[in-house]
Amino acid sequence: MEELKILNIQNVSMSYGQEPLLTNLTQSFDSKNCYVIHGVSGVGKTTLAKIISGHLQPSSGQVLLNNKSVINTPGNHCLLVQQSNDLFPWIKTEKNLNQNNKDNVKILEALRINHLSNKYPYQLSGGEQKRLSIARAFSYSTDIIIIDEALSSVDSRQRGEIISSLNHLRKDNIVIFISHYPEDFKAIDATFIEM
Amino acid sequence: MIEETLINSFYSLTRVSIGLSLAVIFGITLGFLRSSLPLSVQRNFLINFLLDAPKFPPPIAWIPFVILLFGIGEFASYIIVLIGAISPIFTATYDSILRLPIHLSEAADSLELKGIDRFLNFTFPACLPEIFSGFKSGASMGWMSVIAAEMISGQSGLGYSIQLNRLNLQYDAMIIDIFMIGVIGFLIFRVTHMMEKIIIPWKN
Repeated sequence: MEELKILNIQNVSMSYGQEPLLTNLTQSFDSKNCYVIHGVSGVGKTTLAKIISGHLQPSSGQVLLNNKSVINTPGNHCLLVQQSNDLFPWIKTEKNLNQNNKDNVKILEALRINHLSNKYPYQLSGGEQKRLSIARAFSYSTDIIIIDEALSSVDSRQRGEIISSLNHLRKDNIVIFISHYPEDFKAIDATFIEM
Repeated sequence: MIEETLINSFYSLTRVSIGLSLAVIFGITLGFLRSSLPLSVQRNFLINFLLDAPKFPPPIAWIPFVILLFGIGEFASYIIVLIGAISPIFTATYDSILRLPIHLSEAADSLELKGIDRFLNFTFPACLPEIFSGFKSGASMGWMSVIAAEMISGQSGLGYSIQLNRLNLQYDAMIIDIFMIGVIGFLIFRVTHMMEKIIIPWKN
């Protein structure tokens, strides 16, 4: 039986200089559900993603994964698929994935980039690069996968299809989508969190 | 006359190739070593002065000092090319680490790339585009330096040939030497650009 993973965000606040961005945010996530965080631009969605992934330290509060703090500890507890292209351009598509994962082909098929496995990321279109970033996150199968607006460059029909495929690929990870288009996630059984 | 020019070109090119290879080895190594110093040392004014001030005297200014230390000969020529070429390679290597794209660094953190694995699979390839820009400048500087070195202390090469032809009032031969320096300089420029496209195809 797969272990249930629980991410607890407790009273997290974050400010840039004098400007508060997150104030006493408290939220729980678990690996049984899929989450969609949405909200207007500048509300702190990406900042929250970076706090969870350990790349940003909050001004105050706690972030606990299975009761263990992950603040300021970027590592393999969380893979963040960012809006910017974060692929290593010197490595071919298939080598960008976790070489120990036997499901890589399935993941590439689900994201419809299996025919591009011999290409370098710079040879892919913007949308294909984003899908490869997502494939990498699922291939490494970290405790938490956060997909921050990474599907915004894909058209709405494909977005819906990819989201359904990703939901099937999801194993015992906590999957959090950050999106301006919450309506794309209606087809899957997701918990919506408005910021 | 043409045959002599070609032989002298070969000597100059050999010297610049050896000097440039030394500059690549030492420039990249020192650049990475500098970036691995503690931040307090990297920000120290005196340390920065000691590391950056020697870049500014042109290679030709070092020639008397190099002759004094190493005498007139091949080795001195390599050192002059090394002095001319190392600065842009060293600076580019160090700067490239300071300017590593943060989103790629974060991805490397998330993939838990550490130690030598991180250096080989992330840091070095990520720095390569900027290092190569330094290498291209270094190659041009090295070529100009070797000509200057040969003019002052050479026994062969295009720089030496210019001096010899000047003393013998053979201005036509001198013009051919100068033309050849331009042609080879242009070819070095084109070859380094082609190398860049092959080695770093993702740069553009």
